[in-house]
Amino acid sequence: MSIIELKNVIKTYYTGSEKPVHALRGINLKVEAGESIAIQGVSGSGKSTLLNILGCLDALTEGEYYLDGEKVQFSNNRHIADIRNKKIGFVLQNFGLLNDRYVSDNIALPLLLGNMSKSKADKLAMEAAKSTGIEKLYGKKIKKLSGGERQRVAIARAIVTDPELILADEPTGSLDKATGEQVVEMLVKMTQSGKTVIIVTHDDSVAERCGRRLYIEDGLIREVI
Amino acid sequence: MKFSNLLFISMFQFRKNALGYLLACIEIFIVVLLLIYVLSTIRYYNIPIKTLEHVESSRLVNYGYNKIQRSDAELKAAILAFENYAYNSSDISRIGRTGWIRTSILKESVKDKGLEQFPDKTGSDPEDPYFPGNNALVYDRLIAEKFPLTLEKGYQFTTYATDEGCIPVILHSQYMDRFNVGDTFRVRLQWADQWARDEYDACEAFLTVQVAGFLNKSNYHTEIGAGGSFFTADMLVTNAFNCDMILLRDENANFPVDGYDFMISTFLIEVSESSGAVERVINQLSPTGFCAPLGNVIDDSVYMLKQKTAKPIINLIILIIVAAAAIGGINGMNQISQKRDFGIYYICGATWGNCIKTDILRNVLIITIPAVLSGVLSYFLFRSTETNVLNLWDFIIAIGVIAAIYIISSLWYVINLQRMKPADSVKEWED
Ligand SMILES: Nc1ncnc2c1ncn2[C@@H]1O[C@H](COP(=O)(O)OP(=O)(O)OP(=O)(O)O)[C@@H](O)[C@H]1O
Ligand SMILES: [Mg+2]
Repeated sequence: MSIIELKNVIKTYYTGSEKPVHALRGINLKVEAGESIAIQGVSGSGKSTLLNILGCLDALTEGEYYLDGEKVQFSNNRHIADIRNKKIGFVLQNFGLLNDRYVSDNIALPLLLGNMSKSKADKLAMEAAKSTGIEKLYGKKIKKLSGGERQRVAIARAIVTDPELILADEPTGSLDKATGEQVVEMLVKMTQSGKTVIIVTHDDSVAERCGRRLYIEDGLIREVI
Repeated sequence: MKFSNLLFISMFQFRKNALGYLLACIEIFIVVLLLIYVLSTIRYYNIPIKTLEHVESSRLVNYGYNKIQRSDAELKAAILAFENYAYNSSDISRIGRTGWIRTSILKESVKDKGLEQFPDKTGSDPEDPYFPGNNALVYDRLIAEKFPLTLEKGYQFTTYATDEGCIPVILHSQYMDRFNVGDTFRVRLQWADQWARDEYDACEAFLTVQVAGFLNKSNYHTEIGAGGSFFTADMLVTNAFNCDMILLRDENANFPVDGYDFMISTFLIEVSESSGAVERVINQLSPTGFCAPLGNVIDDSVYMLKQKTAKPIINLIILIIVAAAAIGGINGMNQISQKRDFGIYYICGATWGNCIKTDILRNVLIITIPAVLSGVLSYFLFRSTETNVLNLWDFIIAIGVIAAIYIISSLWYVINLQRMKPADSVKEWED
């Protein structure tokens, strides 16, 4: 069974008086568990839009989204919050961390939001920090860290709930080449434990490391072989 | 979501902008303090109007002689005119006193008299050097002639010569088997020119008094007016006797207290609502040229009371607006930086509802400490001063106003967040 199945997904932005923007025009996609996928395309082609829908951050306008065989109901806030919390890990270009908080708080945040006790959350957060090699930074504040270190904190936070799906939007966009490669390496490696990794990127060398490459053009998907 | 986790996450907001929150705390502290202050002044200004609830429906005419110095003859004429008129007219409905006067006997000075056996003195605090106070009255020659005292024993006002430095007093008949004419003891005299003032807020003087006589039993025991409320004109005199002790003041005797006799001097006469009643009262009472101007005086003072009352209310309104704007401003500033944080919470699996809960909890955490602190402080500052009278409602209203401001600001935030698309909030901090 596919972990992700999109059926004719359409996303249209209606912005007041302006013409509606058709960001996605009918996406059909199947992704198997353990795959690593790169999504590429020119700016404004709809990559982030697609990733936001996959990550339950934005509702689709038309079509159906099955995650793990279950249809995602975007109208049910608790339901999609639960999906974000338990099944999905997000990694973003600008890290999306609480800069004034400690590494520990940032990594533990999804667990705390998922109602886990503080002590248990701390233990799991420490394990996640170890697996991305930042256990030494555990007690530091985010604003004291370098870009590469921050992105590793973000990855630790993304995997701390042991989600099936990891979504990364330009994870290397703010990093230098060498650090970026390490980060991608780390992300792709997660497929070995059965996780599915989807990376939006402009960078061909990043995309080449993924098992499958998709192009988005004018709101439609084209597979590159 | 679990409360402990919610609390922990809401605390994230504090350290982020520690200075901002410190400022918010100080601001809440000051605003609550000011609110309580303004409320307590309103309470103070409202007291006379509350006591004289009839001011609005009827009107009041002042009757008196001490505050505006007049000759004895004029005063006598005025009192007579008043008496004749007040007893027979339906225009005057009730009469009230505007202040109070009490005496407390120094325990030390009446050691062997067994006063602690009196029912009204048994409950006295053993630490207190004085027995609980009783109503008192200052009587002078003019009053004595108009309302002569009927004594059970002793000497009339004019015929008793006291020892050097003593004030002659007529005691209530209950003291008769404990004291003899000529006995001396010490009292604390306390008085205030408004019923609403309490003992902490009164003037006081310490006197040595000498017993001149004892009141006739039939003079005593009418409860009317005892609590400071109005009483009818024909009960004026009996009420005047409804006291433990009458201090006698000879014009020649050097009574050591200034302004002591307002007690008798200032009555408020309530005039009935029938048309032309006020004019009739003033006309009737003005043959001496005395009551009419006083009538205007009291009208003016009622007017002034209202002005005084209006001012704190305007202050309060301004204060609330400023407080709302300032607190709203601080909150708004924080909320801008919070949007990003809430976007992060959202991505990590929070609903917008969870985000709002952390916002509300954070506000509660900010409000509580400064509000309680300023409440406690205001208790010590404004409990009972020249211009403030504090009451539990002042605290409740002040803290309620602040809480309402925060609740409104949180609700406003809910509306804003719900209008915001999740994806946009993500974008907002991607930029
Ligand atoms: N909230 C929005 N309201 C209106 N239009 C939007 C909104 N978000 C995205 N769009 C439009 O949808 C289209 C796709 O945007 P999207 O962000 O998915 O592009 P992208 O492929 O991620 O681009 P980039 O490489 O620059 O990040 C663009 O034309 C964009 O202007
Ligand atoms: Mg994008």
